[in-house]
Amino acid sequence: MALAQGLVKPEGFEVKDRPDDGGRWLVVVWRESPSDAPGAKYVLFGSTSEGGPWTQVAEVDSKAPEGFQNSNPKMFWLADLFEQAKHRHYLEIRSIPHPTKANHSIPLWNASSRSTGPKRSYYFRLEMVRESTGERLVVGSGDAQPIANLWDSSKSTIFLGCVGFCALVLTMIRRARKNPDMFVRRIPGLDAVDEAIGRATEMGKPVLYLNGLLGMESISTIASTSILGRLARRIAQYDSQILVPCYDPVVLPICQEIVREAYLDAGRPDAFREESIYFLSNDQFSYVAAVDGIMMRDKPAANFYMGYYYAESLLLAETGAATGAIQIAGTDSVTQLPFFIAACDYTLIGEELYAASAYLSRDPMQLGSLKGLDYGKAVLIAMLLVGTLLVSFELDFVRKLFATF
Amino acid sequence: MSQETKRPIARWVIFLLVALAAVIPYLMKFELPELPAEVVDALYKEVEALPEGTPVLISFDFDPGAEAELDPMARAILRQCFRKKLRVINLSLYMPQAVPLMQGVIRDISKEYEGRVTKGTDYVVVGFSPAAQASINGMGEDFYSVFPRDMDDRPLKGMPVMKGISTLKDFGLVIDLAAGSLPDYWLVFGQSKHHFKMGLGCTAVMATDYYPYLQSKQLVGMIGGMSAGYRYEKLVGIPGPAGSAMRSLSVIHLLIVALVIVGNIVYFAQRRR
Amino acid sequence: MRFFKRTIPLALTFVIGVVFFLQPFSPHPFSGKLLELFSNWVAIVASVSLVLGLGSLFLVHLGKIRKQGAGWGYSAVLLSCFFWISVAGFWPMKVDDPQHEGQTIWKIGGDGVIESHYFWIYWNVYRPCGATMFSILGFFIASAAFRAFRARSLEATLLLVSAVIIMVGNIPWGFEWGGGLAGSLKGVNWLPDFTKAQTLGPDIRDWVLTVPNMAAKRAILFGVVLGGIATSLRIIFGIERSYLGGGRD
Repeated sequence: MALAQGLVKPEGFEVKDRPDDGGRWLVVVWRESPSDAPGAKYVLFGSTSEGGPWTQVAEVDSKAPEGFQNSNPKMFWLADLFEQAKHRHYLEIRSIPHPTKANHSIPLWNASSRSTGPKRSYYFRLEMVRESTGERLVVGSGDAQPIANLWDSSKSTIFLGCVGFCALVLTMIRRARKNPDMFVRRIPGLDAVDEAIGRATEMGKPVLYLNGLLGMESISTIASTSILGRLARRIAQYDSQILVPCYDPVVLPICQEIVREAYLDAGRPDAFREESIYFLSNDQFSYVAAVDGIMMRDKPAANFYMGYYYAESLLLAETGAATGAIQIAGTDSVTQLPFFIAACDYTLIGEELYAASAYLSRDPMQLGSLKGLDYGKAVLIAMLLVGTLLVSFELDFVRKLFATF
Repeated sequence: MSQETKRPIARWVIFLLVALAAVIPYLMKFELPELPAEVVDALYKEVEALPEGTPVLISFDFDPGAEAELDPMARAILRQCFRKKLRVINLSLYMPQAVPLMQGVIRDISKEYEGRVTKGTDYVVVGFSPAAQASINGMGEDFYSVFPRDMDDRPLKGMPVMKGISTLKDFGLVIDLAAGSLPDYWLVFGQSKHHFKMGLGCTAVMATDYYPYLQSKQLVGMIGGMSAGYRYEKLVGIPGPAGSAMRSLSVIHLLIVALVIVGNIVYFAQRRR
Repeated sequence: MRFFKRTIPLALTFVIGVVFFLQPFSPHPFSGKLLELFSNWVAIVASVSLVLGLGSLFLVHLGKIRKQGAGWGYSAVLLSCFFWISVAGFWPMKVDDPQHEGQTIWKIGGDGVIESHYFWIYWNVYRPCGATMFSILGFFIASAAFRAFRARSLEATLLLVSAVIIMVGNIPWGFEWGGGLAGSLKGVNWLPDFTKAQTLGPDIRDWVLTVPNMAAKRAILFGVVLGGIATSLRIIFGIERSYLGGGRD
């Protein structure tokens, strides 16, 4: 090894476990050196045992920005807020090249995450090289064990934000118990529900209700089934008929149960017909073709499209419009909203679908959650305005605090 | 009350006009002018910049309904990849019905490049995996845990086309050709976790949803809809189905604009009366 | 009975809701395995529930055929197609064995090639039907646009104008006309430079898509996500119970 002339050893060399990961990564960190310049390189060697054999893991130019991530939020997210990370170099290591098998690498494992056994240490040595003069300098060596972390601290701000919002909603729900009289603005689409059902009863035609094209794992489908329950109760009271063709087989028995209970609550168990809630198909266009056929043959007087829809939204709405039905749609599918707005009489936009259950039932606890949601939005708007103002004056620590990684 | 407002033009007349606007230009052969699109050019340039032998993952996530929009761009991308001698790994996470479409495109384009590309060395079809979220998570940790074998039941590990690939990070570019919600899964569980380069081909309706990802550079480029697919075909330099479809699309767009204008003229005339 | 129909489901909803609220914040492999386990179970339950759906389908259509109700012929067609494609899916055919060149093996349902019965149905029936249904959208969009795009109010006029801008901007002639308009505005000194750009048409279209459209979409998305969180909280804490059937008791 040539004598280290002119190369200045950087300080602070460390090998450590990468924080906030699943035990598959290590990080090698060191501070900048005054010798960092074009032509000077850092070469990292790794081994699974202290005495070697060593294989080259990485080689980076000391001044190349793509060689390092000087402000890695995962590693230095707190320090990065205060700009301390800019004078550190680091490399993330996921595997070490195999010493004998070409094109093979040894992935880093935390033994406890993969098998029961002793934890493994991995060894690294960093050298600084200047090829033009043949200088070589050992910066440092060390070892570490990758550890699977239980908590991702870089997402703590997001977690706190979520918990804060949840606390706000729960507080408003509690408050609603004491003060049940809460103002909620008019939602024309929901006010028109009675009108739609009345029209169907007068004409002696059924009401068609669709739950959307997602399963019960989707919030929009759950919101839709909750609206179905309230709607079915009113339909039972009006002595009208409901048709619920289902796209998802899991949604089918739930809808049957909901409608059955609704008819029972309305005192009309005899009027309930299980065959009016049935499965059609869980293929998108087969379902749409079948529903369009139902609309053209049975000519329902009122169509409700509540849930998540894809491209078939306009097919449904236009066919319904052609039959002269009153149409009320509610979806959180942002891409399909324009089609429903153009083709339906009333449309519930986004969260109005989620609010529908609370709106129709006027249950104080559900209304309380709506209030909490509104206050949460107000906080979000305030943060957006404050954040925009701060960033305009190049104070972007708030933005970094809430960056998702 | 929802009854159809009195139309000055009957519905069937509108449908007939649309049918004629679709069929007649399709049968005619006239050239269309250029239609530049920055985001499409960006994806093209990204693929062009990849060195020979770089592995590219293409996810075919569309069904027969969206085939008309997505098939032309799939063919154009595959032609470009084969021309550049990139290694192409093809899969689907959307639904089983997407797999024959994927096989059809690859069969046709690989026939065009017969003798220049070989299955197993230059491209492979690994098949379908359900539960897209779990599959993308799995591929991010270990590709072979999700797809151990290709569609011909051959083990993927050791195949020349899979050399150097163990996770999603090892791909030079991942392109999702999607008609459903799959891009959201790819972006949230794939790109933002593993930071690979990602491009998107999607229907025109969906394209507007993904502009924020272009702005944040999570997507390197996007082909949104038929007109963007047409632009990509022009860039690749081999005419494809988007060219003839674009003629019909252009005329239909103008027809709809004309119908809207006529409708408003009649509306205001009726109001004045 | 109430214990099984109400208490256990509510308790399970609460526990699993809280666990999966915390899951994205944990990078530990156990967290990933838990997500994978539940995702797989969701897929399994959905597949098994297909049997329920098929049962419902059979009941409805067999009932119609038996009673010879209106449209019973369509029910007969549906059920016979169901059996036809099921049989085709189990129909074996000889394909080349990729593991042993020159040999052939029997494969259930074929190998993706058109010559197999199953894939003949896919390529010649299912695929054209799917494409046709999607294509009908083109007609319906024209019909809906003609009906809905009337300048009744300021908002309706804005909707109308932006729709025209996007439609014209998406076609090659729109690019030419935009360029022509930009050319004709070159002599007008007091207009800003962007109005004289060759790409005026696509620029205006892109501005409409990326600025007002994106702002509105983001706002709706914020509402949807926050509304989703609030709805999820109602479900986790048992305030919203309609999915259990029948609402609160």
